[in-house]
This record gives sequence, C-alpha cells and structure tokens, in this order.
Amino acid sequence: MKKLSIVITLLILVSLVLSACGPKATPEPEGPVSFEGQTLRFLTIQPHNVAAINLAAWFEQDTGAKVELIVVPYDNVVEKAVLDVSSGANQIDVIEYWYPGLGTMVENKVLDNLDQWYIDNAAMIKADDFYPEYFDVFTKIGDSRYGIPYDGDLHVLWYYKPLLEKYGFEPPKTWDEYLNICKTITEGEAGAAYGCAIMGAKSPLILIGSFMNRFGGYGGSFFDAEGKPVINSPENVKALEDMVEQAKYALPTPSATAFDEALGGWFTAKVAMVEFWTDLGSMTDDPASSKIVGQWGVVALPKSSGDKGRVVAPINAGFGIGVSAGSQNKALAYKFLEYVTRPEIAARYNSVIGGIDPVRKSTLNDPAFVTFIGQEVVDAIEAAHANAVAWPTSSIWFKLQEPLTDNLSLALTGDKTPQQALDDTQVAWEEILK
Amino acid sequence: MATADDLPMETIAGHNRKKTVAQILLGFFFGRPARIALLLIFIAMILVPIFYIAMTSLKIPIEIRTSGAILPKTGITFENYVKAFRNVPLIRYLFNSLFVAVFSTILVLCVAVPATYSMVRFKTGGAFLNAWVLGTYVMPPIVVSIPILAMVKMVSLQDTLIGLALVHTMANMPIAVWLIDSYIRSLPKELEQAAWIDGYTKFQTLLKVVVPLIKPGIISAGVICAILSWNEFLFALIVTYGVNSNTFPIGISRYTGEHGLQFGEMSAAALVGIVPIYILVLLFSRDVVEGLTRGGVKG
Amino acid sequence: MKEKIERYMPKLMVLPTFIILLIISLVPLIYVLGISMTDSTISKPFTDFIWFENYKQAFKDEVLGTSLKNTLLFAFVVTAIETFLGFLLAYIMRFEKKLGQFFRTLVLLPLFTPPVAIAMIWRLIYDPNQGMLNYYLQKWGISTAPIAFLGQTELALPSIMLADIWQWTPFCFLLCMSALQALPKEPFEAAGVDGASGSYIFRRLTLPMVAPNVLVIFLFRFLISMKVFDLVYMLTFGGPGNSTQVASFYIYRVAFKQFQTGYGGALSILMLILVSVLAMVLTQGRELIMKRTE
Repeated sequence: MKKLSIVITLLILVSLVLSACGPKATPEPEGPVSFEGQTLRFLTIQPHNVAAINLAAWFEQDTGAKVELIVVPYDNVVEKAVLDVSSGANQIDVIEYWYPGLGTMVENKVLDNLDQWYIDNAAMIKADDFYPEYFDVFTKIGDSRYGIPYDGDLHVLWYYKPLLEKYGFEPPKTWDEYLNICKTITEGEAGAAYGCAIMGAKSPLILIGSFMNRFGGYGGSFFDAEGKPVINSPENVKALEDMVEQAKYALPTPSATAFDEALGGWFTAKVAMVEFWTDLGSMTDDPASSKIVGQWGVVALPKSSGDKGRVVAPINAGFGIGVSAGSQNKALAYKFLEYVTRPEIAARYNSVIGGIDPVRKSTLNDPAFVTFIGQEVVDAIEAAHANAVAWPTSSIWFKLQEPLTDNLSLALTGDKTPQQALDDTQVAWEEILK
Repeated sequence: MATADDLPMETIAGHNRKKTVAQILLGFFFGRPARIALLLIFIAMILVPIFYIAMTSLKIPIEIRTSGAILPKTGITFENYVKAFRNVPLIRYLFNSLFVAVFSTILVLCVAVPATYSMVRFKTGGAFLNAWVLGTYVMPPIVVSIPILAMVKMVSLQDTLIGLALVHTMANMPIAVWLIDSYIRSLPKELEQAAWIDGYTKFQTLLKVVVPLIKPGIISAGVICAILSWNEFLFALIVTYGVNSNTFPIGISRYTGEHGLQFGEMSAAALVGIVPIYILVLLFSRDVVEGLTRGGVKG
Repeated sequence: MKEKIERYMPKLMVLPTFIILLIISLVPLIYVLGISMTDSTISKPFTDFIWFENYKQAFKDEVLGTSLKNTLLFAFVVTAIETFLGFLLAYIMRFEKKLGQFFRTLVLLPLFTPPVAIAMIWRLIYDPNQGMLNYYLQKWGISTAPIAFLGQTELALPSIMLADIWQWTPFCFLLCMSALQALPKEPFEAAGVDGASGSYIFRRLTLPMVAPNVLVIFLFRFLISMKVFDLVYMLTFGGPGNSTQVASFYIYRVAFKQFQTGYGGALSILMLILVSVLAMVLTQGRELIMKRTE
C-alpha cells in the first residue's frame, strides 16, 4: 500500500508541474504584424496528418506562430467542428472540412463568410487559378463563399500492369470490360490475386463514392434537373446491379473494404484494378510500403457501353479550409488561411507525400509537382478534370446520405435487390425532403 | 482472513466414496490436469492478440500487409517505434491519460464512499436513488455529450485535463457506488453501533471504522474506475482537442496516414502504452490484484 | 448545531453524489427530453415544437427495431459467455494458487488495453487478405478461401462479440474472483472434515452460495454491454447492411451524422426508458438476493 501511495503522490506532483508548464491559454495581443508566440488551432483529418505537420512547420518558420493540430478521423471532421461552435467551446480557429458537409456547416453557422476576404485579397488568391469544378462546390453555398479549396480528390482507375498483361488485357474502357477483366483474373488466379478491389465498407464517403463511380458512367444522377430525387432511376439501378455483380469477383470482401483494405491489396500485388484518388501513384512508388513500384498504370474510369454512357471522374472526398466562426484569434486564423491559399505554398504541400491533391492549375504545371507525381498521372488528372462530377453540398445532404449508405450496403450483402434498395432510398429521401 | 482457499484441495477430495459416472466426469473436470490445461488455454487465448500486437510492431510495414503469420519472417525493425514517436506526441498523451485516470479516480472515491455508506446504512434516498445511480451509469454517453460539452464550457474547462477528469469522475461515480455497495452491506452493523456508543460521530465512524474495513472494496473500485477512465474514448473525443488534453486512446487512433492505417506504428504505440501500466500492475500485484480479489471482509 | 449536523450527516454524505447525478443525468435529461419534442438541429435547439411526432416516427423506424434487437442479442450473448468463462477461470485459479498468482495479472491484460488498440488488432486479425485468423485457417486446411469475418452479414456480429468477450471476460473474472473469495470458510472446513468430494462441494456448497453474486455480475455486465459503441464504431460502422447496427451507434448517427438532434433525442429517451426498466429490475433483483443471503 505504501508503494502505491508514493507512486500516486509522485504522479500528482509530476502532473501539476507539467500542467503548469503547459502553454498559456491566451497570449497577449501584440502588433498586427507579428504573430510570434501565438498559437493557432487547425482542425485536420488523419489521412492529412503528415501534410498538416509540414504545413505547421513552414507556417511557424515564416510567421513565428505555432500551429497546434487537432486531428480527427476523416468522417468526424464536420461533427467535431459543429459541436465545437454550437456548444460554445470555440477551441478551433481554422477548419479543414469535407465538402459535402459544407451546407451543414454553413447552416449551423460554423464558418465565417469569406465574401469580403475574397474581394480584399483577390490579387493574392488568384481565383482563376482554381479548377472551376472544385472552386464553387468546395466553397460556395447560395451566393456566398465560406472557404478555399485545399485537397482535390478525383477518382481514376489504377491498374497493375503485370496482371493485366498476363491475361492479355488492355485497361477497360467500359464497365462491361471491367467486369470481364475482373472475373477472368480472379478466376484465373484462384485466390493468389483478384481482378479488382471495390470499396464498399459502410461509410458514406467510401460506399457512395464507389456507387457514384458507376452510375455516373451510366448517365445516372442523384437528382433530376428540378432537384427531385431520382435515385431509383433505371440507370442507377443498372449501375448498382453491375456493382453487386462485380463485387462477387472483387478482393474479399467489398462490404468490409475501406481504403485501408484496398490499399493493402494494391500494395502487395493482389489487386489488378482499383478506383482510387490521384495520389496513389506517388504512394505506390514508395518502396517502404509497396511491392509494385513502377508497375502501375492509370486511366479514366470506365463508362457504360450503352448510348447514355459517359466518362466521369467523381469528386469522392475533397476538402476545403475555412475559418471557424468561433475562432478566438481571427487575425491569426486569416493569416493561416492566406498562407494556405498562396499558389507557391500549395505547390509545395502538393509536392511531398501527404495525401493532398492539386486544386490549382498552377500546381499541376509546377515542375516540382510533375517530378513528384509523374507525367502520366498529371495527364490523367488533366483528362479527369474535364469529367469531374461533384457530390451535393446542400445542408440536407447529410440527412440523405445515411439511408442511401444503409441501402447500398444491404444491396451488397444481398439482403435487398438493387431495385428494392434504391426504391427504399427514394421513399426515404422523399420523406426527408417533404 | 482465512477463507476456503486455504484448504488444500487434496484433503477435500481425498476421501473415496461410491461415484456415479457423472461424478467421475465432474471429478475429472475438477481434477488438476484438466484445470491446468484449461488455465493454459485461457492464458493462450488472452495472450495471442497481445503477442500479435508485439510482433506486428516489429514487422516491416510491407510484411504486415502481405502475411498474417504471427512471427516476422523478413526480419525485424524498430522503425515503427521511431515513427510512432516522431509523428504523434505519444509521451504527452500517455501522461495526459495517467493524470486524468488518477485524478478522476481519487475524486470518484472521495464522493462515492460516503454516499454509498449513507445509502446503505441510513437508506438515504431509498430504492429510487439506487436505481437513479445505476440508470445514470447505463445511460449511453452519446446521449449526454452535447449538454456535457456545454457545461464543461460553462466552467471554462474545455480542452483541459481537469475538465476531462471531472467528466470521467461524473461518468464513473455510479460504478464506484455500485461496487462499494456490497462491501458495506457485508459489514456487521454492531461494529458501527459500538463506535457510536464510544461517541464517534457518523462521519468519524465512516472514516475510522468503515473505511479501513472496506479497503479492499475501495481499492477494487478505484482500480476499475482508473481502468475505465484510462480506456475511455467517446468523452475524450468530444471534450478534448489538441495535445494539451488528448488522451492515449485518442492518440492511438491518430496513426492513420496517407497510406491508410499504419498498423505497425499503431501497434508500437499501443505497446508503449500498455507495457508501463502492465509493469505497474505487476509491481503492485500484491496490493492491487490481491486487494481487488480479496473482496469478502470477515474480520 | 453539532447535533443538527449529525442528524443531517447521512444526507450530507450523499450530497456530492446527488449534485453529480443532477449534473450528469437530470440536466441532460431535461435537455434531451425537451429537444425530443422539437424538430431541432444541433445549432438551433428547441425550435419547431412538434410534440410527439419524433416518437411516432421512431415506432415506424425499421432501423431502430433492428438496432434494438442487435443490442439485446449482443448484450445477452456476450454477457452469458463472459460470466461463464470469468467464473470458470476464477474457480480454477482458486485451486492453482501458485500458477494462479503468476497468471492473474496476465489475465487482466485486456482490461488495460484501450479499446481503440483492441479494435485495431482485431481488425488486423479478421482481415481476409492480410489477417492472422485467415492465414492460419488456410494454412491448417480448415478453410480454402479467405473468410471476410467483418464483411458478411451472418459473421459480423459474432466477430464483434468475440472481440468483446476477449476484452471483457477479465472484468467478469475479477468480479467472480471477488465473489468467490468472499465465501465464508466454515462450511467448507466442515465438508472437508466430512470427507465430501470436490464435485460434491462444488454442487452443494460453492454453487448455491455464490450463485446470487454471479447473477448480479451477469445483470451488471448485461447493462454495461448495452452501451456497446467503440467496437462497432471502429470495426464495422454498423454494417454490412444493418447487421451490426446497435442502439447507441444508431443514436450517434442520427444526432451527429445527420444532425437531427430532435429525432436523436427521442431515440435517446426511448433507449433510456428501456435501460432504466432493466436497471430497475436489476436493483430490485439484487435487493431480493441480498435479503435472501443475509
């Protein structure tokens, strides 16, 4: 007992000393210019942890202000920000947000309106330099802007050359070819490798992304021109039917495949084709984590072979950065926003491993970036931009995506037919939109 | 403190009587070889995942992706450890967790021991209070998270260790009441009555007579509360933000990089976190674990 | 004055607990109850009063039904197995004093491992392509194709249960051990003198005497396991389909993913009623048991 109490006493002492040494809460406001000694709190997502660590180090070097990272899982970022502001805790200064959550965040008054900021800083921002397909969906709700584009995230099709060559295949142009290749390779390899990996884990970002890759190619959509839901349109049903069929031959098993599992299969030469974001190539060429350095190729996603078919590059994932309405140090927050916006800084954080993909045309043409990611990927990104399609960003979307995710997952497991799953989604959506 | 344990099993089972088949089977079941075999199986089941964590932390990242074999095949590396410390302020998280666990546990005990004593001995609050305490514990934390965060903010303790410790205190208080309850119940009333006759006040009786007698109960409640606080995830996720107050469980979940989950680094971090606690428990196993399991208080 | 304090001492002793209970349950309860009758979102609480619309909606909600069913099934299965294994382990350790002492701390290891780490390691164990379980199942010829433990409707919930059993059996073991140690010594000595066999002592003495306590442990763990969240959150997200959708995860989803705090509040209240009824049964049951054993 005596030992125990000594240890406890020591612990308390040490902790008191340590907490006393911790950074003080509010630094004295100095001049408008120097941010020396101040601390900014940047809410970022785990997959971008390394990028944020780099960014923080550069920012501190250039301005003297410390950046403390608040790192949360990629699917928690919107709720963390909303909770912070609505509870009045107001600990966060700058927010990296998943763009389909933008409407929700604006509705909950989490983000500062940046209209004036855009006008005041137009020369520095160079808004024309942003890809237009990112710029509005990532930042604009109604007529106002609430953030800047940070990480562009298009899906393209990656393939592992040796496996496709072994069976004499070219990369697929249509989803029918895709199914055929996937099936042939999976059956031919008998468990040693699989023709494709399909991300179907039950998370909206993952599962709806995979679905959108397909129905986009069939000419389907979430809503019609008048904004009415058409989730159970014939194109969408056909796309889901095909996805369920493809899933039978995919890396086991789509229902439990999120991007960790898909990457695991890809890096170890177990997967011939995977739909993934545009930074996969540079990751794959890191021999520490990959067995297939230099053995990959990349093309646009397949389309439907029917006459409605078109090539799409859905923006699955994709992140913007905005200033928290609850920030207690707005001057510093805007300084950071400005820093991240600068084209030369953007080129810099896109050219190191960190999971950030370009949102600026100038980044894509930056020599350092081209060297980093390879000309082939640059071409693929360029081609994909013409076909980019975005997710909805209105405030109702977060309510809609959950029933869709449920039903897609139920279709994948075979508990519902694709038709029934999408019919049920349609009913749920109409109910929510009423 | 002699209990049934202190009797050698052989003297109990030694006498031969006529046995039915069922009894022979049962006898085998409670025989020494079967017991030891079962024990070893249990231990193996418990240790395999931990051992898997340890081995994973030593593997080269690419091998973790390739093979499910427990032992590393392509050599071992300490790179995971280096990275685990480089990318995430692990030591700070461990310290934060420890502080919150110890601080909240001490508070819990200070509050729960007198309350339980009063509820058991003087029936304060009756069955209603009892059910309320338990109802509070089984309430899913998710239900109360928004008002809790707002209240933490009201006292300006958001993003502080004290704030999280207070939340844990409130969350764990009911379980401490529940655990200490049965220890107080098993005390003979006569002891306390004698103390009152000697002129002790109720509070003095609690401190000088009851607390020493239910020490094992207090230790076991304390250890369980500390463990619950150490492991707690949801409140920590909501109430804490950055490095000042993030706890170890939140820290581990940060090992997701651009290459997906970093199983090697996560394993290394997890091991770094559990080994000191484990050593601490081993060191004090006589005090903690014995006290934890001693339970019955028969003077 | 002194006498007055003395008279109110019992109430004073309960006061801090009472205040904590108010803070942690009554204030949130009023908040949640109020919000459950509105159509509010997270930043605009208490707007659009709609009485019991949310509750009406809840009774029609299929996912809620599924998640309640899953929660009860989960809680019952894991609690039964954990209590049984915990008791067995505690019982064995009583006789193997030397070994027991050595192993006792080892057995507790899962308790000191944060659930986040536990979820991580089980995710790796279950992985069809790079996981330990499939590797050995295939190596030993038990299965030919990889099994997706977390990706199949019928396997996902049992897989989560197994991880939970691994994590919580030590907890039940601790409580069972405590219960066994608390048994009085005299009856066992008498039985020893009479020359009763080990199994006889177990059936006639140990089991009847310890059963009430084990039942309490069972009920207690049952209530805790109704809260299951971490493992679902980190292993399956309620999927595939709705096969691992449990109540607290569903509430989390409604309130923090869809930000329908009003409806989430109504679900919380329903869950709370269910749990309170069970808790009431538990405290009453314990009261009865305690009376019988006293």
